[in-house]
Amino acid sequence: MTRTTDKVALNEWQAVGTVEEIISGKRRNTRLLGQDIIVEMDGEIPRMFENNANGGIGTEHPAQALYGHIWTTLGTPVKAPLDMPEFKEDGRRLVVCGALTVRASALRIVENFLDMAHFPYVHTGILGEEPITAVNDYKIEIREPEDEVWATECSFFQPQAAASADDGQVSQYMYRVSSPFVTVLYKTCPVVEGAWDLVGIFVQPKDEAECDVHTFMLVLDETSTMSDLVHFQQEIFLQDRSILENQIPPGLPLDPMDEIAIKADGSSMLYRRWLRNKGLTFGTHRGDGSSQAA
Amino acid sequence: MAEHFPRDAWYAVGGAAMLAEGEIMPVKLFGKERVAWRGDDGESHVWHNRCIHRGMRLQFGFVDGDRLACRYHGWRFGGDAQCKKIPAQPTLAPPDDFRIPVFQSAEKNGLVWTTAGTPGANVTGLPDSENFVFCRSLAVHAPPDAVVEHFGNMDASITTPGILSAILNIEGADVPVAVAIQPVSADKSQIHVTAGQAGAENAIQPLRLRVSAWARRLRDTIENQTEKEDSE
Amino acid sequence: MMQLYDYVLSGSCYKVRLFLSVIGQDYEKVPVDYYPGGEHKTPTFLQINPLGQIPVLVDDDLILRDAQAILVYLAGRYDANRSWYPEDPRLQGEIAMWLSFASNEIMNSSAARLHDMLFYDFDIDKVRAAAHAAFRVLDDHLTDREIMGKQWIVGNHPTIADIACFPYVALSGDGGISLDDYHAVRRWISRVKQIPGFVVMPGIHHN
Repeated sequence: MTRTTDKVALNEWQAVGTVEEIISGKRRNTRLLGQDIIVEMDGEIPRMFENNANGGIGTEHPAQALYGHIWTTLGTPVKAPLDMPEFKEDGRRLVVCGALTVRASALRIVENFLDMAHFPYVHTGILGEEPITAVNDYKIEIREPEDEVWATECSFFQPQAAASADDGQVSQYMYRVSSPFVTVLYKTCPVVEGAWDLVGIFVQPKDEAECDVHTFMLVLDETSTMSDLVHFQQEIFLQDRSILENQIPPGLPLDPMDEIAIKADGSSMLYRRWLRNKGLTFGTHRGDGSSQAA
Repeated sequence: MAEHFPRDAWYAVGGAAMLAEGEIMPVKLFGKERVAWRGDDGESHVWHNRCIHRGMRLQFGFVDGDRLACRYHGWRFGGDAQCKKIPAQPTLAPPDDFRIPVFQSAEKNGLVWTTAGTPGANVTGLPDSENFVFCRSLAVHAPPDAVVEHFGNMDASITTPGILSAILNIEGADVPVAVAIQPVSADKSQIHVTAGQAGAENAIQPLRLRVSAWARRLRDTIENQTEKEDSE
Repeated sequence: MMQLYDYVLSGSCYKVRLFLSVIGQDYEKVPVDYYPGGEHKTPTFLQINPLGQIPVLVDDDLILRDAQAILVYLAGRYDANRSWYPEDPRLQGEIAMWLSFASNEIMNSSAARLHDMLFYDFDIDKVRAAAHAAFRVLDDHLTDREIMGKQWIVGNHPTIADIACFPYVALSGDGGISLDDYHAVRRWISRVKQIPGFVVMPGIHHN
C-alpha cells in the first residue's frame, strides 16, 4: 500500500527500531504507515528518510533516540513521546526485547495489551489459570492535559507473574495508553516490595494489518540473566501473536455495535472511544468496505 | 459456478466419523469461513467461525463437554450457540443475544452437510442405489466447475447439485463411486469421496485404500490441467 | 545434569523439550539469546556448535547438535522400554526417513515463520509453497494410516518421528501457512497433544 492520508496517525511519534541495532551500522529498511523508510545513525544522531519506489532516498523527517529506541514521524506531532521518569531511576534494568512482526492491526495489538481477561487462556500457567478467571473491578479515565487512557487499581492472580517469580501472586497493574500505538503497563515488582516494573510496547504500524512490535521492560531484578528476561517477554508476546493474527476482521471496529463487550472490557471500550473521538481511521474496521475486512 | 453450485443446496464438508467428539474442523463454503465441531453429547454443529466478543476464529478454540470455548477469553457456547459462561465475569448471566450465528447442518451417508442458503429441511445426500462408504476428503486447487467438468469427461452423472456418481474401473475392478464436491472458493474445491461397499466388512479397508490412492491421482490430474490452462 | 542450550521460540529446541517432558527426564535449560542478541553466532557459542545452531545437548562428555540426532540419542539412552525408537530395523528405517523429512521438507515452515516473525530474508512464496507440498505428503500418509487403523506416523504407538515432525507442522500458522486443507494432519496434531507429558510452546495450545 501507499502512505496513509490519515493525519491522526501521521502526526504521532512512532518507534521504528532499537538504538543498539542501528548504531552498530545496520541501516533499517522498514515501513511506517504504508511509507517505505530508511532509519540510520549519523554518529550519535538518528535520521529517517523516505525510501522512494525507484530506490532513491527521499524526504528526511524528524528522528530522535529515546528509551533505547529510534522515534520518528511522517507528520507534525502535536504531542511529544510519552514521559517515563522511571528511566532516570537508579537500579533499573532496561531490557530491549527486539522487534517482532505481527500480521494484525496496531490497534488490536494495543487493545490486547490492555486486556487481563485473556491471561488464563492465552498465557495459561504464567499470567493466569482456570479457575481463577474473574477480572476484578478497576478504574478507567482519560487523563488531561496528557490526553492519555489510564486503567488503574487492576489486579489478577498469576501463577508466574515474572521471570523472577517462583510462586503465584496477585499482581497489581496500571495501564497507560499515550498514543494510539504506544502503551505501557506498571506491574507489581516481585523482587522489591512496593515498587512497579514497567513493560511496554511501541507498535510500529507498517500497514493497516501488519506491524513491528518493539517491546521493552524496565525492571528491578538483579538476579535474572538478560536471556531469562528476554525469553520470558518473547514467550508472552508470541502467545498473543497467534491470537492477534486470527481476529477477524483484522481492523479494530470502533462502532460499539460491531463487537460485544462486557464490564471487564472497560479499558478496551474507553480506548476505542478515545480513538473514535480522535478521528483515527488507520487500522480500524470501516463498514464502507475501505478497511481490510476478511 | 451458480449453475452447478446453487447457494441453497446442501454441501458435504467432511466425513462424519472424521469429526470425533471434542474435535473442531475449519470449513469454507463459497469463500465464507465456518467452523464445525462436535461435543461429547455426539451433536455436530456448523457455526460462523468468529467469536462475537473480539472476533477470534473459533476453529482455534477447544471443546469443553458439550460446549465450544473461544481460545481468547474462554467464553463457552452451548449447542444452541448461546453464550453460557463468561469467565472474566462469572456472575454474569449472558444475555440472549450473546450467540454465534448458526448454519443449517446435518449428517447423512457418513458425511457432515451444510449450506450457504435455505435448502429444504431434508438433506438430499448421496444417490440411494448404493450403500456408500466414506473413503477420504481432499482439497483440490481448482475451481469447483473444473472438477465437475473433469468428471463429465469420465461419464459421471449429476443427480443432485455437487454430487457426482460413476462406475469407475480402479485397479481392475469396477467400483461405484460418489463424490461430493464442496465449493470452497472461486479457485478451490474440496472433494469427499465415497465408494459402494463391496461385500464383506473386512473388504472395506482395502477398498478405502484403493479409492484413496485413486483420489490422489485424480486430484493431481485436475490440478495439472488447471495449471496448464492458467498458463496458456 | 544434562544441559539443553535452548531458545524459547525455537521449534527445534521445542522438539527436545517436548521429548524430555514426555519421557520424564530432568535437565537444565541454558537460555541462548538467539534474538535479538544473536548469541548463537558468537565465538563462545561456536565453540559448542561450530554450525551456530540450536539446540545443543550436553550430557557428560557428549555434545550433540541437531534436534533429530538428540532425539535418537535420548530415546536410545533414556527410554527403558525402547518404545520411542524401537530396535526393529524396519521401524528404524522408517523413523530415519521421517526424521530426515522433519529436518528438510518441513523446515520450509520454519523458514516462513522466521521470515514473517524475525525478518529473515527468504523467498516467502517459495518456502510457503514447499511447506504446503510437504504437508500434503504428510496428510496423504496420515490419511491412509488412519484408514489402516493407525494413529501415528510409524508403527503402532508414538515414536520420535512424531516428535520430530510435530513442532513446525503445528507452528505453521506463525509463517502464514494454514492447515485447513490437511484434515488428517490436524487430527494427528490433536492426538500428539494427548500424549502424557505433552507441553506447549508459544503458538501451540493444548486441545
